[in-house]
Amino acid sequence: MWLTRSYSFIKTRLDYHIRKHPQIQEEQPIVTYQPSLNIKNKQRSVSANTKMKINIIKDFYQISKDDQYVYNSLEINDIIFIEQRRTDDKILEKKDWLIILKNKSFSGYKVQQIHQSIMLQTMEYDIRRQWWIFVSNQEQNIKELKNQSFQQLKKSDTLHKIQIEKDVVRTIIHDMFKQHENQQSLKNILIAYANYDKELGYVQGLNIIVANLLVCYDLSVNDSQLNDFEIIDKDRDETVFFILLYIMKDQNWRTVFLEGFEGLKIKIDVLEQMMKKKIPELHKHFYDEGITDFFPFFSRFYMTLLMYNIPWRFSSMILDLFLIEGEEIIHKLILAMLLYHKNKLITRNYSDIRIFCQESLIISFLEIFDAPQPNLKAILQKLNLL
Amino acid sequence: MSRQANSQDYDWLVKVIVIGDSGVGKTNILSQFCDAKFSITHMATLGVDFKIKTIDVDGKKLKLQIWDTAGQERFRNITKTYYKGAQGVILTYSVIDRQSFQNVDGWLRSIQENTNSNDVQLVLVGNKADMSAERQVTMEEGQKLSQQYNIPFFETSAKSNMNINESFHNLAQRIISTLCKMQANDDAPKLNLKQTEGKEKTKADGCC
Repeated sequence: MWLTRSYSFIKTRLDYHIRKHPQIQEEQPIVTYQPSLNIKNKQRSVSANTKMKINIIKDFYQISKDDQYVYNSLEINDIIFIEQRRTDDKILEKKDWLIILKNKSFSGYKVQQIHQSIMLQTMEYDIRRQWWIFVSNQEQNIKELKNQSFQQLKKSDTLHKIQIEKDVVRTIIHDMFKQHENQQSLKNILIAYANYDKELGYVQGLNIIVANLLVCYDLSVNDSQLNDFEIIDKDRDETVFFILLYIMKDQNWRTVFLEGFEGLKIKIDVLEQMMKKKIPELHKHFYDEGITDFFPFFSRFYMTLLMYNIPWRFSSMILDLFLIEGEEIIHKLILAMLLYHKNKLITRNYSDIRIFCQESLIISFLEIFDAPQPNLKAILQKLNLL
Repeated sequence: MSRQANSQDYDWLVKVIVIGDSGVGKTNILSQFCDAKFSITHMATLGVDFKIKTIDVDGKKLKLQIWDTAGQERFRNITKTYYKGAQGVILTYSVIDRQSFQNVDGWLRSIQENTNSNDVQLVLVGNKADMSAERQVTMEEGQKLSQQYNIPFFETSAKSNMNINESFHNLAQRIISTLCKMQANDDAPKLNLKQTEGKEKTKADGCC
């Protein structure tokens, strides 16, 4: 993997061994809550019967002497969270992004700096294409296809074609997506992927991810910023296909969609444990309202990388972050959303929480990104996102 | 039993699930019923969606928690775990999609396997009835199937709002009479409470 020697983005590999007692759902859960404000109070209410052991192993490689990470290791219940200590770093400007792209190396820049810069959206639209190609390990993935090619894969027949065709016409994420060419591109990429990954095939959710990749990769949606010129990339579909491969294979997102959704359930378990640790009062409220199964609340967030029905300008930021930080950033963003809306959520009942998570949690959180930079920085810091 | 003095704006809280093949119009049926909306272009439902609608049935306020499920095969294992605790099922096919009609048997089997079928009320709905030119399933076929399984049947159109309210009201009425029967039998209103998702309280008022 290209990352291993060149850079150490926060690559987290999670190995789980979950053994749940089958009767856990039936049992009437008893919450013993001490109204103490001490967050270190270990509440074990939800997983009282759950023997859960999560090992988080960080693949950590030094990239340059500029990078000095300090990790705080906290043990809560059976889970070890490793956190990066916050520092104030210089935000990357256009020339910095160009330097990284030119050298094909992150040398001289810290993880945290890049993370902050993406969050504060200093990467401009015209850099994004090259950036995505660079961070998605494109050359390596092209090589690994060996005797297959995108052109062949998109033409081969697949049993998933019927479902793909049903979904392509109802994947509307942007006005431009009503155009026939874009729907054709979406269909081609989904068919190619279904042929490439026969075990997985096509699952709903992939259509949203690919459509967002297509729109955000395509500069024509940035017309107003681009003034009078537009760069047409005739290889767009193929490039997006390889970015999808990177997400599914290298970021291992295919486990989210595999039969039985076991990988997705594990991710949602991790989210719940993080919420219990970081926002215990909200977690308790959820629990008191009868929310013991987080799956219906958050499964879609993971299946669409938070991009279900949101404006594309936010999708591009989420993708910028996800391509280099992977799973962890999705957990972090959801936690930040919950924290941001805590006061609202904590007064609501089951139905209202469910509706709010479904309709408004993501979109009304993303509004914070419209704040001017200094304010945004403060907000993001407060939400543990910087 | 005396009526509880609380701020609840409903008498009963029940869980209804909407199931059926992908693309038969489940979400549109719900949008029409809950929000009086229909859109030609909407996104496919992923996992499970959730809607709330309070309706009047025989002078009682019934709050419906409606679970809108994804139709794609891959999601079946997940969605059937949400059958648990449902008091009503809207089983949907599309009259312009023969396959979705043929799959009704499979859906019924899956309901039988995953619920206590005596307590669950069903209604069979053949949607997209406005699209006569593309029709692949006749009304008679739908009726025959529903008689075979002894389930009330409606041909609906989410687009023109045909029989949508009727389907839900038919279901709601039968849910209420089942609940009343259960209450009368064991005089244990708590039973319903346990079956409903979440901890919003159902009414403890037992007169029917």
